[in-house]
Amino acid sequence: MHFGQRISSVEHGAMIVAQTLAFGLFIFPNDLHLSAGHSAIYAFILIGVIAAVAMVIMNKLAARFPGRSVGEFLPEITGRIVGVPLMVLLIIAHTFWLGIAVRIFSDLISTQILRETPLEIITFTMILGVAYVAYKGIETIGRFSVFVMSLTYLAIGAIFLFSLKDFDPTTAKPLFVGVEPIVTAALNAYYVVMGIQITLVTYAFTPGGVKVTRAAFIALGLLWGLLILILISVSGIAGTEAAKTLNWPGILVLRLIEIPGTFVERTGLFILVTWTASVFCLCTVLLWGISLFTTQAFNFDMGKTKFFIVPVGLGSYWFSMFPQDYESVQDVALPIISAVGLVSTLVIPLILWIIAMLRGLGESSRAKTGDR
Amino acid sequence: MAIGIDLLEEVEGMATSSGDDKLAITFMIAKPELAARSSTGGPSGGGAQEPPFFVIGAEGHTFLEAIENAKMRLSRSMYFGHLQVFVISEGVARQHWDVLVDELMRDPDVSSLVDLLVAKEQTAREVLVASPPLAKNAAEFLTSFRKKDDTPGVTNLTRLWDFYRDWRTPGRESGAASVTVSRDQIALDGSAVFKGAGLVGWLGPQETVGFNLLTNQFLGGTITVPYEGDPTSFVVARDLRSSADVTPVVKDLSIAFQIRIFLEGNIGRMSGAGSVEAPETFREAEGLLERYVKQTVEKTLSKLQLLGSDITDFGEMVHKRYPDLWKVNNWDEDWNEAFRQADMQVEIETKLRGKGLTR
Repeated sequence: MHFGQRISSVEHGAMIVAQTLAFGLFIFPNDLHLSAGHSAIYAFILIGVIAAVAMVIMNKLAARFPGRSVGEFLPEITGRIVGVPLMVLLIIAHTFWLGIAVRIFSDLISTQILRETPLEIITFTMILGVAYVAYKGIETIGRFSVFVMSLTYLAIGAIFLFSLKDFDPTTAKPLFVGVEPIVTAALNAYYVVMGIQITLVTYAFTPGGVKVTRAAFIALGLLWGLLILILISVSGIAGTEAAKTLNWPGILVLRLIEIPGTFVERTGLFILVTWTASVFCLCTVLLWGISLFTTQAFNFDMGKTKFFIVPVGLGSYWFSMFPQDYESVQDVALPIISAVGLVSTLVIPLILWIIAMLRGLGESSRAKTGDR
Repeated sequence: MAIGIDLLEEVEGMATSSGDDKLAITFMIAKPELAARSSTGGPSGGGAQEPPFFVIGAEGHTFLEAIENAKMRLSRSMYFGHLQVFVISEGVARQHWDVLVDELMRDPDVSSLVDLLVAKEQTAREVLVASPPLAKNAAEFLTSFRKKDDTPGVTNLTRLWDFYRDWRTPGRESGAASVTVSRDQIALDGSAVFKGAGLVGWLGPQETVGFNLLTNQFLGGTITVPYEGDPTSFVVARDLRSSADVTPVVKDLSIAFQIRIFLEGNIGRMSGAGSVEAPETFREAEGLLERYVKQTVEKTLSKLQLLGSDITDFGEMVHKRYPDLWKVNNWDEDWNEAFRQADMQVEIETKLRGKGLTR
């Protein structure tokens, strides 16, 4: 099925940012400092390089199959015998990711604000709201992403810039602690950029070409800039050793900022509202994407996509209740999600792209991306 | 269940002392109506003015247990979102502080921006219930130093978060302001010095000035320098601004620090000297100030080395500049010993610019 031009290149970029911005934003400095210590910034630079390579490969792959999402061209490249089981695995892994994203959100809300509200209520309400927007389809999600991405990005960026008044360059100065800790940290915290994989789904709904590729790279650059600002703030304000002990280092930095005035004085609340909208956006895109993927994996009619939202939503709820406490999420679930992210953004697209080129499947990516 | 703000007891200050085997915590709780009247200058009912707060005390083996016990004496829920200061007694600072800091940092209700102060030679409760002039209560008075443009050089305010960070970071120790009360007058009179999470000693007012100069926290103020050989005559330097540049250097496998402090300001007064018109008088004043500040900074460093506690963050500088040396010497575990033996070379440069509105 050819999806046509249902979202603009800006909406495509916004969906990439929205998909990525909400997951791990406030926790990734903890994971990086835990594994890489004083080399946390080097580990993040490595994440950025891997993400950029992954983005190039995903764009080249998607450009070979214009108007078709990964759920369609994957079985064509690998054959259905390999493709369908692989898709089922990806569906389960991403439903798990969706569940953990919702769980992190629920944990933050229940520890910081609604301490007497049961986790189940917060989680279920979130999934219900997400399911409703996902039901409305990609056009609604695209417009919603542009709005949420702009608001969240600007709010978080501006407030972290304010935090630099407490910044200590000596504390932030990175040290090289060895290759292994840096690579381990980058692999453990890759979850923070894995949302870029949505490119393989949303590209099909865009007009394609250079403009779309450029929008995707601008989105990645914006994300990388914001994330490194957060990491540097945490490194320069908390320092490596203290950052290792904080579950939510990003939140701590926000709590340290005192901005005078009446509008943004309550920065914590302001950020929380925008971040909530951002998580909502991430979960909506994920739920919709998984439902679409499921429809394609089992060769159902595209009209049935909406009906898969309910089982996927329930599955993610089950996964979200799986970890005992927040530390289990961080110690067990996040490394799994990072591994899934690395496989689904880099390894699988690279293999698919090589096979597609060798077998001469799809169109020439050069023509579509405008590469010289 | 969300609770309306009118159904909360807003805790503005806390003080804790150690009992036999329990913590005794005093909570300063705002009376919102009276606080509003006193801040707007409205009538407060005539006669002797009622303070806009009340205090209650409770004991417990832990902070949370003390809160639970305090709740039993209050009709409303306690709210810690507006907590401004936490005063601790010397006993708590020496024995229980690590457990308490850990508990406070875990508590999502307590802001990490709470100012920590140590009550010197009196109970923490005495500080909290004092009635400073022109301030609603002791909590407001103590936190007001953070908002002043011309904070006196003897002030060393430390937030809960700063303390926690220094405590958790190898090579860093923390200080906190020390506070005394005399006839209801509160005064910040120096700093408490911690090692790990336990109090090990004090810096007096002059030593705290030295500490602030060393750590670039001297935010304006006045330094009075007595004439050498004539203690009845003074040079008063005012409107002072300073910047310190600290460079760690390795000398024969041991650490030394080159400390350069630049101080700039105006002459407030010179007594017992020649005319302030004369350039040589300015130079003489600058020389006196230089020697006095050098002596002050060296005294501070000697005291900190004697206490074996690096609250200056020099350790962090060494760690970042000489990471291999840091690792080889295992200074993560024992930086304070290296700090104790470090050679300190202090250089001061002063510039006095003006002499006020008259000749």
